[in-house]
Amino acid sequence: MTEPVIDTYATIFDIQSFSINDGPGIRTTVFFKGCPLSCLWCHNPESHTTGVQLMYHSNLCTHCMQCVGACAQGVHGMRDVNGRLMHTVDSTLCIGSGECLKVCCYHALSLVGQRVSSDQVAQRILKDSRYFTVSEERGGVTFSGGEPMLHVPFILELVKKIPGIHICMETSGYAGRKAFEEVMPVVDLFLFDYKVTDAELHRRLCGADNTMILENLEYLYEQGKDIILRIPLIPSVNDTDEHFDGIAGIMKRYPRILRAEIMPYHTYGLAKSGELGLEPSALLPRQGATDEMVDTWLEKLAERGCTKVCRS
Amino acid sequence: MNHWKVRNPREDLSFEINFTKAHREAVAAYSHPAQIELALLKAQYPAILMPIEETDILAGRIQFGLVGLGIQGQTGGTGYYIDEPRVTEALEFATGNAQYRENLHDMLTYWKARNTYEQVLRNTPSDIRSIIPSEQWKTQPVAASPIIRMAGAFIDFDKLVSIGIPGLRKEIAAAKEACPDTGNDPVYFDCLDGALDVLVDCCHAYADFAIAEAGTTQNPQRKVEMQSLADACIAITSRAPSSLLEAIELCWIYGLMCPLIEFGRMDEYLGDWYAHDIDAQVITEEQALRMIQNLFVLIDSLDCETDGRVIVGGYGRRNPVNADRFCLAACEACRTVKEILPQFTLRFDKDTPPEIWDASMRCIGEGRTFPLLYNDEVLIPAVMHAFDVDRARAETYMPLGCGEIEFDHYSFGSPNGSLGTLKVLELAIHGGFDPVGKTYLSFKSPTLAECSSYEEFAAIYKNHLTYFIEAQAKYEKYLYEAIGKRHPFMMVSMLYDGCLATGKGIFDGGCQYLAGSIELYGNVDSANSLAAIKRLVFEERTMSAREMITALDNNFVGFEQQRKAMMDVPKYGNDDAFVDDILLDLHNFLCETVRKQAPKVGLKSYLCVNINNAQNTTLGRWVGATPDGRKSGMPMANANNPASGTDTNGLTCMLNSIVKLPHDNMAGMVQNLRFTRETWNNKDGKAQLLVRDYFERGGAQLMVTVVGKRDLELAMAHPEEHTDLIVRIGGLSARFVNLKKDVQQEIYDRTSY
Repeated sequence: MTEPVIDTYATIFDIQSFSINDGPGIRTTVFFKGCPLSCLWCHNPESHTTGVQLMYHSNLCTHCMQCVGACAQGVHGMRDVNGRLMHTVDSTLCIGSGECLKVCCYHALSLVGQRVSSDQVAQRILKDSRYFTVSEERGGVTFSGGEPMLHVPFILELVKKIPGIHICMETSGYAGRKAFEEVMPVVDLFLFDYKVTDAELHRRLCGADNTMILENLEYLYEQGKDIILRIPLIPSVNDTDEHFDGIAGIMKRYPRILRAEIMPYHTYGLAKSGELGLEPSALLPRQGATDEMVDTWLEKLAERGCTKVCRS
Repeated sequence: MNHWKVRNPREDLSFEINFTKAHREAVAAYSHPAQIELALLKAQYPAILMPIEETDILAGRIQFGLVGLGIQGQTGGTGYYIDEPRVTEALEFATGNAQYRENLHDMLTYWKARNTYEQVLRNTPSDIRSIIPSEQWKTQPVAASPIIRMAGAFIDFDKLVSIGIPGLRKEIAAAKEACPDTGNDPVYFDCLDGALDVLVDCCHAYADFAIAEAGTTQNPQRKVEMQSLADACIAITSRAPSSLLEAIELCWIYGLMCPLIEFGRMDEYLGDWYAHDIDAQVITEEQALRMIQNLFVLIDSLDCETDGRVIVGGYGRRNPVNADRFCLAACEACRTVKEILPQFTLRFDKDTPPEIWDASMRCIGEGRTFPLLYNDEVLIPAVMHAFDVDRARAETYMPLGCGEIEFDHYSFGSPNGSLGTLKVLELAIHGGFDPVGKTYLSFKSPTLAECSSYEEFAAIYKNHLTYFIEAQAKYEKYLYEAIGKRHPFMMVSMLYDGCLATGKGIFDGGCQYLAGSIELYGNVDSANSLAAIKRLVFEERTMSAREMITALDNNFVGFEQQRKAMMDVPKYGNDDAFVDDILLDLHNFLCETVRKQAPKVGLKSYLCVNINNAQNTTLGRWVGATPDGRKSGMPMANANNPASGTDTNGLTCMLNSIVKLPHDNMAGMVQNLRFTRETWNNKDGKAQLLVRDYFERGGAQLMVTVVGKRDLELAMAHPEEHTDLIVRIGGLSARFVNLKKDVQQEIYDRTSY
């Protein structure tokens, strides 16, 4: 008697093909939903919770009000603005039924988060497999999020179905040691975040301190894994001299880290927060980092002897 | 009608009045069309040539008249033409004495029924007219429309440069001498020789302009340049060219007299003189580049946005080393002359030097939309099959205008009909009835609601398509005959294979490979619509045909849920086999049905092209709501690109979809891709690797626009500040701010990667 096949499921919020900034070559990036951290500047605020979330794209809405009748929860409403009926959304009431999506013809509503099986994701990835080999530096799949380390059982199941494909794990590092132990053999390259040097500041900006993160970094390094350090820099939030010292210190301590990549702050996350009905932190700049800022950051790192660093 | 880019355009219509007088006299005096044409060439040239402008180092400005002799719309018109609205405007608003006004009245009435367009239209056989009754596709709902023009002359510039005017005269004289043996009419050859006399007059006229410019300029260097230019223009009247400058002027002036708007394999016919002049230190590389840049400016001055092809690279060139040197300089000219013409076209193959590829990628990366990329490794075998020619012939393929394939100075394949396949689907759904114009545009057939299976409906749809295709093929043949009888087009014929030997004009039996093509619009939307019909009505049975038709007839008002269901059926461009297979089936059906018409109507080949200028938007205006969820009047997808916003699975899947369609049963298909600057200029060149891969797996053609979506938004909001923004539409590049709003929106809605 053969055992019944039970597939593994996870909630993802996007699969992005022709991804060229998340690891070597041309990649397909799977974005998992759910994250134990809550970094102030997160550009994927829709990834924070594990559940399904409604997104309202007001610029696409024609105020046709079809959704108002479709929703039993009263998420969608109307209000009179100078004699014109305008669509209102109260995301807190949403249970993710998706009924409103069935009537919106303008792509103004979407549900973030899709429950998918490892088979489905594998099939989608395999459509892109030829693109992974077009560059000298081999491309492949990147797991991102959210925090993909929350989905190790799913990932282990998935990678069996896409053999021979280069795997990147883009992680905050905030996960239990066991998860790293399990996933390590199937991951070719870790894109490992290094967000804030000071533990207390890390706790305040990201929702947890960085002790476990640094331990995991050390563990992966000692296990001989390939690592690229990913450094989000947010003007007037974490671009401090202390942090630059910290980055330089890490790069010195772990010389086999392939390189550090600066990820300059941009404002996409702000717009998405609005669409989710969330209020972004007042601390966040309302404008993205400029080229001049990036140049200054690179100079500061160079002054500290940090040479293997580039802009993402 | 174009707006020729000349600084001081002629204001009065004395040229047009003289041309009319010349025509009246010629038809009274002569019976042979070549004699009449010669008289009209004399009336038109050099009268419409214009002075050298301050910024020019070449002679070659021109302003075609509101009445005149042309070959297609962008040259004023086809055959003997009149721009009636503008002549009327001149009559209503212009000053002028009584005699002048009488002449304008005379001109209008004289040409009303005598202009070629009108004559061809009026004499269209009734069996064709009953099926394709109107060429007014811009203002009327039509399924198929005739297009009156003779588009796509690619003359033998290489021969012209090599033997010059005297060499041509010799060939003509020999052909005339042989008349007693061949039975050809010697009058024809006398007229050809007479046309060359007019060409000589044109060279002298431009020489005079150069001398005048030399006399007025205070700049000593310019004085010398203008003197050399005058010398060159005179030299080519009596011998073959002996420098790059002479070769350029001879080709350009000859082309103006055709009148020509395709400039062929320029690297081949100018490459040797380019290399010679630089190697012999006659000119520097910088001077040569200036000449090429100015030549490109002159091409742009013709204002023929859908044409103006300059083709470089690829297999089959006589002189690849010199041609490649020219090609590299031409890439630089294309990068630096920031106009929408020429449509600079790179044919490439596995041996294309990397520096040419890199120069091309740089040009594209700067947002020029050029060069348009043509993959010889795929296209040559495809062309051999589609046109049934050998490899040597296939290697001479030339994309004309928006991209219809012809063979250099050998075949003619003017696209003289369009078919809106989505409009035909609308008719098929309604049993032949057009719900927009409220009339039957096709034969009566069962409606979608009366079909019991998808297969039954698909067969009916195909019958309607065939109905129009058969009429269009007959029309193509008719048009060649009608034009051939009236117009020898001697300047074109003289440099087209077969015409001297047969003593006949190109469309009158001279051209040995008379072909034709039909432009298709709306295939992708049709396939998406068929997919929705198949899945919702016949497979899942979640929507009845009647319900679907009601939703369409109401433009989905009150049927939003039905529309959403239609939109949610898989769309082409996502590597989804269900719908991609439907498009593939439709594509192959159309290609094969069109192809089968050639022997029936007596053409060497008749093939479809899936190219699309902005007509995907214009024709879409008259198509009601369709089962893909597209609302009434909205644009259709361009060529075989996914419909805007429906390629949700990303670039890789989009490319996976588009490479599924074969190229070897049609005469041209183009592909648009738009990248943001950041993606295209990625430091590891990943976007370019993707493009390479696309070609390696069978991609035939690609047109790349590199522009940010934000740039388009800003240009829509502040057009005055973004006049330099150039985008690729389908078969042409255009200044974004000059486009109509709905075309701008359609381009904006396309996906950027």
